[in-house]
Parts: sequence; structure tokens; C-alpha cells
Amino acid sequence: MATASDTTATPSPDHGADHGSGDHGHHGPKWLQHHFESPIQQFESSKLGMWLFLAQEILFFSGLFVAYAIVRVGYPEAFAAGSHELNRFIGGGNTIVLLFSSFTAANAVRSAQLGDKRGVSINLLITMVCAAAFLVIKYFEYSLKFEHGLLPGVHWHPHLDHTLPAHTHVFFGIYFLLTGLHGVHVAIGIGVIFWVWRRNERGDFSKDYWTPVDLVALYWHLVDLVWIYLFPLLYLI
Amino acid sequence: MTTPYRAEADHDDHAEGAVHVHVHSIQFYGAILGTLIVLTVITVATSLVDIDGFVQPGTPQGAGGFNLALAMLIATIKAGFVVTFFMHLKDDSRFNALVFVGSVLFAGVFLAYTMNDTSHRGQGDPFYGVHVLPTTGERAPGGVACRFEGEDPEPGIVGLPICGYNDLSHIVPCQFAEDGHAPESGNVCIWEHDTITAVSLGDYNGGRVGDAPPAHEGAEHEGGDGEHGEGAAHGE
Repeated sequence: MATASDTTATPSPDHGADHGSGDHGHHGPKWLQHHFESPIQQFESSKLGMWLFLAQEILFFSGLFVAYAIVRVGYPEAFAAGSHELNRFIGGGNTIVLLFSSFTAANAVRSAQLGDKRGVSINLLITMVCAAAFLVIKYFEYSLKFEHGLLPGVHWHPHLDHTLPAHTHVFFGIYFLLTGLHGVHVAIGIGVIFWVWRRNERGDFSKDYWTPVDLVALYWHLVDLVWIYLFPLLYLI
Repeated sequence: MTTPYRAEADHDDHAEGAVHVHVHSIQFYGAILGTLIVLTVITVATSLVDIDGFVQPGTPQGAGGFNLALAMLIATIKAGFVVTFFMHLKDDSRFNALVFVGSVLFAGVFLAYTMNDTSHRGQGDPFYGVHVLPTTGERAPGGVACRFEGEDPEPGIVGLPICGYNDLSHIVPCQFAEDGHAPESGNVCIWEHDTITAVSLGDYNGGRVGDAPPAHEGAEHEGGDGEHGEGAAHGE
């Protein structure tokens, strides 16, 4: 995903320097790639590329959401019982951690728009810390579920078949797949935010060029968006 | 279009074709964050109220649709705030908004058509689950070994028991009631070794596995209607 946003959505200033030289009769800032007419065209193209990627992400997740819906309609009691095994306050706390990280991501973009390099760095750092905190909380949550034998498959505790409604293991299958896929997105998010943070430290961005900060924030908001739906579907019903 | 929070960025030194954006204040983003946190607290609080049990007494909490619908409504309001303000879709190009809304709509189409399919399997198609060899009209191996009442006696099916429906609305071979008489209405089926209270043809519930009576955990046997009903394991 890092490479996808790198090559499709984010014009790298390094390449801009390579191609944007006088060889092509090109005039403009070093970060403006030669195949773009103007900064605004490059910006709009990058944004469209990112939105297309996010649309793909929504459809990517939708498969698991539809699986959730099918199985829930089939076994409503199992889903109710399964979700009661999850701690809604841990889930809610994690929701607030992610919402706060979305806030700092939005503030990173704001700082970038104002050309405030230090503000970008600080906000991106806080976003990364929140993302890591989310994963740490998730790690403890997962460990607890494993201990209780709630991981479907060979680790599923046989006793649970007597205490929980039939098919509750299917709920946990969906739970681990959905939160696992989301967790992978959080981990990748830390990676790409770190990469943008380093580029910011390197001085790649200015008041006129901050597209990568904008795009990485868009990705991060989408990760938040998916969790906004996962939280009630898994913890609250 | 302007909100009290929005300040115009100064574009004084921008050249033609430069990127112009609205810069929101930190207070504006803070207000959005506050709203999102309040909505999170509200959705956790509403989840503690057993709306399902209140509307339909006896429903286990969380198993009905009302708690879910409320939680999804709140989640959608939250998502709307994130997309509109954090992701700036309000100020973004209309085409980007179309891309995003389009993907959500198509995810909805995916969901709606799939649910319409899986929730109505067996309804309106009494032959659902019956495997027939297209060339001979005989029952295919692995299919249901029974024949329908009034069906032309094809070579392969003469002597097979009459087909009936079990309470999952799956077609199963029928045995008549123990007194040897055909029931007066519908197809009451009795599986070997285990009496199940099957439903008549008019009552079957469209194969909705969740509605199976708890006595035989019928959903376990979905799709497993093997020959002579022996594919049905009766243990709990």
C-alpha cells in the first residue's frame, strides 16, 4: 500500500527533480512532475488517485461485512452471545484513541497547508503513537480471547460448545478476520505515516506542496471510518 | 458554504495554477472530535439498553434488529462527520465525492443482492437442492433420493419414497407416519430413527436456518440432505 500511494498518488520530489529539469523545457517547482501542467492539476490528480484507492478499500472490506451480515441473519443468538464476550469499554476506548488520531491527522494537514513543518511533524508523531496504542490494546484483547479459547479452530475450547449457543465460533471467525484486516491497515498506516513524517523532516514539503501529508491523512481517516462501523457491529450488538 | 470556523488561507504569493485550499481552525477540528466522542459514548450507552427485548420480548439482547439499526444510524452519522470534515469531502472536487459515494453505493448493492439471495433460498423454487441429471431426468448421485407426488415415473426414480420438506424447507425423502397413512395435509416427513416435527408444505420457512427449532439443531445439516435422510446426524 505504501508503494501504491507512492507511485500512483504521490509525486515524489526526487523524481520531480530528475524529470523536471531543463531537458524537457520544463519550468516550475522541483516537486512538479513534468507530465503535469500545473501544481493544481498534479494535486487534483493525486487526490483522485487516492480517492479511487479508498473506494477500492471500501469494496475490499465490504466482502467481510457481507459475510458478517449473512452469518448474523443465520445465527442471531450466536452473534449476540459472541459480542457479549467482548468488552465494549475496551472497544470504546480504542474507538476514542482512533478518533483522536484522526483529529491529529487532520491537524497535520492543516499545519502542512500553513507551511508549519514542526506542526506537521508533531501531529504525525501523535498519530503514530495513537495507532501504536490501538495495536497494543488490541494485542491484549486478542491475548485474552486466546486464553479463553475463543480463537476458532483447533484452539477453540470444547467447553464453550456447552456454554455458548451453537455457531458462536463463526462469530469469532468473522471477528478475528475483520479486526485482523483492520489491524493490518493500522500497522501499514504507521509505516506510511512514518515515511511521510521522514519526508517532512527532510524538508520535502512546503506551503505550496504538501500532497503526501494530505493523502496519508485520507488513508488514515479511512482506517478510522472502517473502525467506526466495526466497533458497534462486533462489540455493541 | 463558509462556517464560522473557517479562515481563508492567504494566497498572496500564489501563481496561476497553484493549489488553493480553505484552512480550517484547530477549534473546528476539535469540535468535530468532540462530537465524534460524544456520539461514541451515546452508542455505547444505547447498547446497554435492551431495545430488542423491549420491542419483542424474549429476544436475546443484541439478536434483534433494533439495537443494530440504532447503532448503525449513529455509526453513519459519525462516518459522515469524518468524511465531510476530516477528509474535506465537502470542499473537495465533486468527482472525488462521486467516487467515494459510488463505492459505498456499490457496497450496498453487494449487500442487498446477497442478502436477498441468501435469505430467500428455497422460496418459490421447490426444486432447490434437488440434483437432476439433465440428459436422463434421473436424480443425480448425491441428490435427494425421492420423487415428487404426481411426477412422471422416470426410469431412475420408480420406487423411491415421496419427497417432502423438513422444517428447513429442504427436500427430503418422506416416510409416512407410523400408522402407515399419508397425512391429510402437506408432507409430514419422518426421518429414520428420529422423529422430527416436520412442517407442511405451506408452512415452510424458506430455509432460514436461524429459525430452526432448537431440538435438532437443523442448521447443522444444511445441504447435507443425503440419501434416505441418513446424512442427518441427530446428535447435539
